[in-house]
Amino acid sequence: MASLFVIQGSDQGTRFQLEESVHTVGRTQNNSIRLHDTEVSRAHAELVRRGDLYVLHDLGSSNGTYVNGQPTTERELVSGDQLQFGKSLLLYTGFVENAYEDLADKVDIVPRSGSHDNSRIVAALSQAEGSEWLMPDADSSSSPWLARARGNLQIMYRTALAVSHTMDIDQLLARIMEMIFDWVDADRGCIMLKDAETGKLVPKVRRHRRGLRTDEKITISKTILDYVVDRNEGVLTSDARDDERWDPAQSIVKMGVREAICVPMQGRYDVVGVIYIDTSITPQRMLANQGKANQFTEEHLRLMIAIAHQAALAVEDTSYYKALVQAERLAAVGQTIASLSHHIKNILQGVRGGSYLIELGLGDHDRTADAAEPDDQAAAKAVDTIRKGWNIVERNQERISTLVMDMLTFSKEREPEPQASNLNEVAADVVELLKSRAEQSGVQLVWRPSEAMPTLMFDPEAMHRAILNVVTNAIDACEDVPEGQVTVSTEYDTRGKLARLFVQDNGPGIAPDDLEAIFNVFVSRKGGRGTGLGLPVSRKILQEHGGEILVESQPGAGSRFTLELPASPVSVEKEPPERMTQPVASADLPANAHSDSSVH
Amino acid sequence: MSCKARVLIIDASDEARDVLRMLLERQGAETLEAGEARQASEIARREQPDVIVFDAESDRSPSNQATVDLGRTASRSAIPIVVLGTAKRPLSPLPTGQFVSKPYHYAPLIRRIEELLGKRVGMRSGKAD
Repeated sequence: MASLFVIQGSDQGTRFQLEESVHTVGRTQNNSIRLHDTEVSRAHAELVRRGDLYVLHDLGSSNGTYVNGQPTTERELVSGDQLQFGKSLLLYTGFVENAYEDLADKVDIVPRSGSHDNSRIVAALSQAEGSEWLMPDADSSSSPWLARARGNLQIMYRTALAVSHTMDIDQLLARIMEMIFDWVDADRGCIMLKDAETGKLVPKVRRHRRGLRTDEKITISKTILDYVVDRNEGVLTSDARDDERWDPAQSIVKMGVREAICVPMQGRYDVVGVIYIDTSITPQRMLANQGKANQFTEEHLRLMIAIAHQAALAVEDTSYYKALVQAERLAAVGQTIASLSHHIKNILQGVRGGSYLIELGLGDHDRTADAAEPDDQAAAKAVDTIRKGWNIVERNQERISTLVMDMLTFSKEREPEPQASNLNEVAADVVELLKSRAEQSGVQLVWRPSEAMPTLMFDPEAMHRAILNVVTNAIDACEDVPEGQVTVSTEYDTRGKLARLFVQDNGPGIAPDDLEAIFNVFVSRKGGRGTGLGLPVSRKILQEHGGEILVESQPGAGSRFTLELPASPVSVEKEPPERMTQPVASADLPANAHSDSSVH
Repeated sequence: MSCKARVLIIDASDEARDVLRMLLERQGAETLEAGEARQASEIARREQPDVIVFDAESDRSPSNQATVDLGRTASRSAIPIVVLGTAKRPLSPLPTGQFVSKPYHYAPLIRRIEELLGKRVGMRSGKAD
């Protein structure tokens, strides 16, 4: 089955199965491929099935449709095509049969008899043998040099595989250690990584030769470790007593290390750790080997350095990636906390001011009550102080409630709960609620509802919040303007099937440079007063409804915000229960007989 | 010249200014107000208040130029400034500044302003005598 997979954009990770004969791509709910992308048009493009493939048509979208980076109006899609609508990038995967068919034309499979092909099998290799192509030859027919070279290539190949297949450091190191043991005859081995904070080497993986006691501690000479890390050189030590470099420190001698390889794990930027292997040769074995003590050679050393480098790159990648993710997360958390505590602090300051006034007013009141002569004027003044304080407390209580509601709306992964509602009613509620605030700010709030606003399906509570935030902003913007005026109006666009709510103010307007930023979370142009949550929350709500908020602004003349709500008409079964109370005469008709034909 | 102490309040929040004004008026002081630091320096120069209460967040001018201007005006006339702020910023542009961190309590703030006023008004009435 064909599919579209969103690889970039707000819907990243979503897969759309293509099974209909026509799929439409757009921002609104009625599209089978709905993208939550403001740069995608409401009806952006369509995919029409033609046999075993889909043809993409752009439907006159404002930002265009691109296939593999090329602007496209019509195009047959093939597997692997990258489709771009707005900021969203989608990967198209065609029908599987489709791929077979294409190739079948190019490759002929013919019966052996009567073919022009006279090939015969000269060599056969099983799958298992094939994957061991780098293993040293068991029979010594080929030269020992070649066998060794193959072995070396094999271990590098396996290291590369191990490194590319895992992001888990401990698992990766364990595998590398295991491979080293398969390849070289070592007794004990250990990988140590530098601790990011202390810089000390911390053992991560250790391993013993089979048969060796595993509870035995690995003791590693600090002299060797320091040399390797400080000089960034791998070392091969063979019989430490012969090597004057180790002479001053007798640690190797005491531990009886005969041969060891210790290599730095050099990454792109730094030594991230060391890999250490050793082997001790008993006198008996020396005799058995006829005096040939060398287990480890310079070739081993060279290869170990290469392996350690590979491992170090993987360690670095993983830890930098982790650090990056962590740092981003911390930065975001830090910004959130800083911003929120700033608002809460301002609210708290307001509450303190208000309650201090109340406290003083109560004190004044008590004094007038205790006074020998009743002083009406003083009593009235005391009450006035209390009232002023109370108003401030109440205002700040309202502020904290708005902040909490906005935070909840913004953080919740919520789906709107649509119900049959009227945009005029919701907007009228908001206007009513903000009347006193507008009066206080000396702003005239005008309400002009459209007469023809149908009942639509949307989440009235969420829309209330979305409108509230925009209108509040408009009132705040007009505060310092003489004869400030905010006009809230609605209209219903029958053709576009769209309800619009306009909030027009005659405030100072928004500078073109700021227009981009106003929907960013925690960006506020209101200084200490704004939470920077209002508009992002409003936009989130509108987008959840498949709509959008548009802004036009002229610095010095004011701004107009347009909330576009795509109309989801009320379906019959969800319509308000007026039908139930219809005259008995029509009760024998089917319930939906007189409803519009689009229902059928 | 009136002997009433005069306080210039610079705060972006109307509410904070309202509260401070009411509280200072109860103490018999006169208040002058500015919503933005930009206007503050000019008012301070013209009106020569006895104390300036300055909310550091009310300065939205680039690189805090308004704060620097205010500091110059204040130190020229040796006007003490009470700086209300979130984090203790270096007071270098405000040589006559005293820091009060937000959120503050009003009672101690008023006491502090009164102390400063007491000194100033005392000085002035001393000269007048």
